[in-house]
Amino acid sequence: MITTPGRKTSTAATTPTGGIEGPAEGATNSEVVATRGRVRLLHYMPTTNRSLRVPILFVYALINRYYILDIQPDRSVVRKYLDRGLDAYIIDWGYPRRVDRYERIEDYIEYIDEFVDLIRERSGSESVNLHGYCIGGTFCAIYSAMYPEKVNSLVIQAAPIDFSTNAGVLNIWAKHIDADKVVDTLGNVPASFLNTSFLLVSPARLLIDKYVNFYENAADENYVQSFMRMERWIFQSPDLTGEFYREFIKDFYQKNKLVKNEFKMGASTVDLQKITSPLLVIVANDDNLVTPDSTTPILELASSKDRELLRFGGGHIGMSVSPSAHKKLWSQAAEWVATRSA
Amino acid sequence: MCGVKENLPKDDTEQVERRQSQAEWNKAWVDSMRDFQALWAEWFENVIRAQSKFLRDSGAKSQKLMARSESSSNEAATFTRSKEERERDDSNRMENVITQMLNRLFSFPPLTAVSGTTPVGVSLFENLAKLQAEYANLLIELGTVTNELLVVWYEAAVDVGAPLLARGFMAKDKLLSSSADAKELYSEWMRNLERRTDALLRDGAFSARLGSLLSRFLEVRRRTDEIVQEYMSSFGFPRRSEFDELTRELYLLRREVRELRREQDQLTRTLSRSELQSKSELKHAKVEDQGHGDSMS
Repeated sequence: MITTPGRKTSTAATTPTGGIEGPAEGATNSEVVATRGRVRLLHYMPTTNRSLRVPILFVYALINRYYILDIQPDRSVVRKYLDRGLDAYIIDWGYPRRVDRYERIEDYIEYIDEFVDLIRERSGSESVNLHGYCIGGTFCAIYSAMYPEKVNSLVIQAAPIDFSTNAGVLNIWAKHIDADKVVDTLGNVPASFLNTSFLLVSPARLLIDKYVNFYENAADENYVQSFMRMERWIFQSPDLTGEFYREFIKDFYQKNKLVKNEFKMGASTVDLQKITSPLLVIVANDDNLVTPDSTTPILELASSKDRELLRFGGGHIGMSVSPSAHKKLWSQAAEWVATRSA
Repeated sequence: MCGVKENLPKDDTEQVERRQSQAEWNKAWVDSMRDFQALWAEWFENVIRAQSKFLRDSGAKSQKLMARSESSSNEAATFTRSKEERERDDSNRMENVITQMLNRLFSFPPLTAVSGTTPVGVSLFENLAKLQAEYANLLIELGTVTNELLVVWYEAAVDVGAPLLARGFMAKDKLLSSSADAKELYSEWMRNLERRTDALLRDGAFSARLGSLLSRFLEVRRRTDEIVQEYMSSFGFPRRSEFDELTRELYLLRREVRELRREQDQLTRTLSRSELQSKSELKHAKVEDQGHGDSMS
């Protein structure tokens, strides 16, 4: 393992030409504490005198970049946890190259395990809190089922668990995709293909209305800055490794193996009933990418005695970046984790 | 020609026959491409003309349709039938041309060389012909999907615009009176469009068509890649599949290294723990010995 301790990432405020304010990746100071090829583990600098024993690891999805959880200072999920006294880490999955095309779900779980062990060593804590967002939440659920002893608490945010629902358009489309053909032809699945798919989920709103609203608010500098930050994030997306895409579409979207206890990692079958840690599930009512009925089944499947569900009225991304989410939702979530981390 | 052939050795005769056959192939392929391009241009021109006419006449047409009674429905029926008939004719004609083109290409005797291996040039032409057919299929599929999306667009516009047109709203002296009106009109159109688009995107048949479109696109991409790689391999460049094999080897090696590293870390931790334990036991034993020694002296 190549470790590069103490290398700080940039937190520049303004560009010389008056460009978009804020750092290229995330609003909060962080340092790279480990790298595994393209995958990095970042540690956030504390914003208070840390008082809580158990650290938290954020696991974002493979689609788009991790810093959506820290997009700007007043809309940073990470900062809410830091302000509450938690020691926070996050995984940056990086940009897969062709040489990474055979990486599967099992490999991503191993990355998480290796980083969890490193965090446990650094912090002296026997377990860590996990916060998984979208596919990262699916990974965290699988990890918690495989290694329950290493997980202090589990936060699942808009993560697809049960793929049998047809409430989301992606669930309907995925059933008609020939994943083998996609991967055998393209290798890694290009970011442009993924972006096009997501734009087609709501084309009228995302291709027309969004830009009409931008035009109407173009005189508002704060609005423009926020808008451009989001645009940059949306179109900075990495490719998906081919074998992960094949597995996710075939085994999850088409065969729904996870909830049926049929998904295997190596010789072991992943059984969500083995999740015993305190569980917080956060869903967005207007989420059209990962509908709430795809996430909430984990509340029934897991064996956790301490369970809670938080609902937010916005969408899949809005729940992380909208001002209304940061008024109440994330303080609640941070408080929930903090009370279980003393 | 016959006299020349009789005087040539057997191998050369076969070569001449092969070259002749290849020349005929080339001509057939070029002729087919020319036919296909002419038809494509005509079809495309028809589509553009039809769309322009639709846009120009839509206002008047919708007014006429709304004002028309049951007895005048024959006019719309005639219009619809002739439009459908036109589309069917175009589609049949394109299909016939593609069939003709393929028949022409593949009706010649197979161009296998005497040695049993297919020359690069011959397989290249075969693959290009197949690629062209796949490309045509892709364009037809893409056109169909685009059409369905456009229909949704038009229907949303007509839904919102038709009542306005009926009231003569777009007449010159009755333009939208304020930006608030325009905003309201835009919002209504956007809601209508979102609703219709959502219904279309959730339709199982449309989703299947999108899946089929994706498959056709990938097929075209795959054949294009094959052609390029086959051509490049004749210059000694490795194929993508060879790179992928190497990548897979590398991936398996990396997994093995990770496993070994994990085992090593585990062993190191176990050794450190047992070393610490031994040291502490040794220290404890020494302390006890000293204690006994003191008491004995």
